[in-house]
Amino acid sequence: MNIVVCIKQVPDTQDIKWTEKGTMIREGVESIINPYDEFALEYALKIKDKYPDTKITVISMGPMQAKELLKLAIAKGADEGILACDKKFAGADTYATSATLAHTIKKYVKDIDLIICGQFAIDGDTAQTAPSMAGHLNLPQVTFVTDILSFDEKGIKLRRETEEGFIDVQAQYPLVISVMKRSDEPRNHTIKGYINACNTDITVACKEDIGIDDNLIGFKGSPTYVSKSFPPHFERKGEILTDEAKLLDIIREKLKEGK
Amino acid sequence: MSLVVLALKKRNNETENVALELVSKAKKFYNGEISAILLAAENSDESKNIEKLSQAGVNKIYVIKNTKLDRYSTLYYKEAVLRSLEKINPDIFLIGATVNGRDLAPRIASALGAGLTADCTDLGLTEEGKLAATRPTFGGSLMATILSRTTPQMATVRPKVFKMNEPNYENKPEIEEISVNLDDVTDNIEELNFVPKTFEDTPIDEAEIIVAAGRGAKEPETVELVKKFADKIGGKFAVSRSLVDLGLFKNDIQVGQTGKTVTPKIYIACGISGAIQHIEGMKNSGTIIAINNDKDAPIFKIADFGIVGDLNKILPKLIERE
Repeated sequence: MNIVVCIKQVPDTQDIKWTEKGTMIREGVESIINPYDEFALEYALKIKDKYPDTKITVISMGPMQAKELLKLAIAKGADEGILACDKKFAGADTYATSATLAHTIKKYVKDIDLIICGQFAIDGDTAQTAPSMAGHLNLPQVTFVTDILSFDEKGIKLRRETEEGFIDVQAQYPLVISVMKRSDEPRNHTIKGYINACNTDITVACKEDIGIDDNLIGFKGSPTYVSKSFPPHFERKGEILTDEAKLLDIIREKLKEGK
Repeated sequence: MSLVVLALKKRNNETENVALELVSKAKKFYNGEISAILLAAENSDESKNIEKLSQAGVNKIYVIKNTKLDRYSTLYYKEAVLRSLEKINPDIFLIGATVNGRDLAPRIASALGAGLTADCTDLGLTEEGKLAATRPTFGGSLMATILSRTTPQMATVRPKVFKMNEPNYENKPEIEEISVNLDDVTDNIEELNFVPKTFEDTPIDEAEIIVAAGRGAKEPETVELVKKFADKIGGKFAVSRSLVDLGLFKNDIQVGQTGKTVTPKIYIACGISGAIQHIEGMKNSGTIIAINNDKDAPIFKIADFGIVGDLNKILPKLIERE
């Protein structure tokens, strides 16, 4: 099997501290693999466990430092890493990002069976990149996947979670899926994987290497743009109670009142 | 000039409420024609859905029909919407950010090369009449108003972010049926089985009372106390993002920008500092109560009532009291 896993470099939100005004202190925040993408990689590795011939290519778009995270993915068991990295990619919205990823995949990976993405990136939260990329690649998609129930070389059985319940579906390759987190932890890197990562060069692909049109990338290729930004504002009176018993009275009262 | 809301449906063929909320919001900021797109199988009875959308105040309802549209499918729905948009040609296209809405919207946007702003918390128009879609950004420390260079200007909005208008029984929208041809489209993703959620997994966004634990309540004993307190007052237990990021809970009970938007009568935040991304998910709650040991935590600024102190001391007292 031939699997692509998309990985995003995100700031470690566990590290994030807040100022008194409620703004984020970004200095000294470490970069990590987006936690949802860790699960995407773990699913790919589970498939490789069963079919050792499986080739896993991890792909990211981002700054040069993101190479380290791709190496980390190789240390965990992926085979190859490709980083789409170019100043011209900067300022991309989800449309331009997914177009860049789709073109990178088309250029560098042939005969794909499965592309696995994390459902959300913890810093962007849009959940748009995977479906948008599936659109650029003209592939079917299954999103909000909570489990891979079974798979073989012909197809894959997935569980998807909606507001109403759990839907099990049978899908054929090639396919894009985006996955939710699971309760079991994704695996760590191995010594063998670490050595492998040291000996594997990450392919760095710039705009020219990928051969993508200027009007699909970066700020210029993004159909959306930020027109203004402002601090959020929604204050309430914040009456501090010193007697916690009063809290129960308030709860009883408010329940009677209705919204 | 027209604004279109996509009205996706639940499995029982009922229109999702978020579509009605979007129409309600659109009525407040948009003066042009407001219409809704309803997708349905050829033989499907859409009268109830048409009635609901009428009462929400749409001027026109497009009923897009094809046998392949009996149940949600990414590829059939995408094509049906794209093919009907060619005729409808809206300036603004809004979609509810339910699971299926989030599955579909980016797919439509990428096919159109259209800008799509996800999970907006406010919508309005600029002086030039363009859609101004506002959402939290940078981990929620900043609100950004996002415009689109392309048409249609697309945005998604979570359920319960906007209030539904009182029904207007007088409204009589024009109904137009459009038959789309989907003979050339194949979706080979086959549904095998559906298991509905049980009462236990009733979504938190339907609860009257929510007691939520944050990073200050991450220790197992504290989590237990928060759960017990929730049980005592008949509330649903929820969490903030940090507990999900720590891998302690799943995202389905998470309140906030990446989780659910909730509007219970009473929201009690235990050990939640009040990052904007969390506040975005609960700021429209009836009464907000915060318990936190840091008197400077931002959560107190958006709470109606607060207690400063240690959860492990306060919660047992609350649990024991009659």
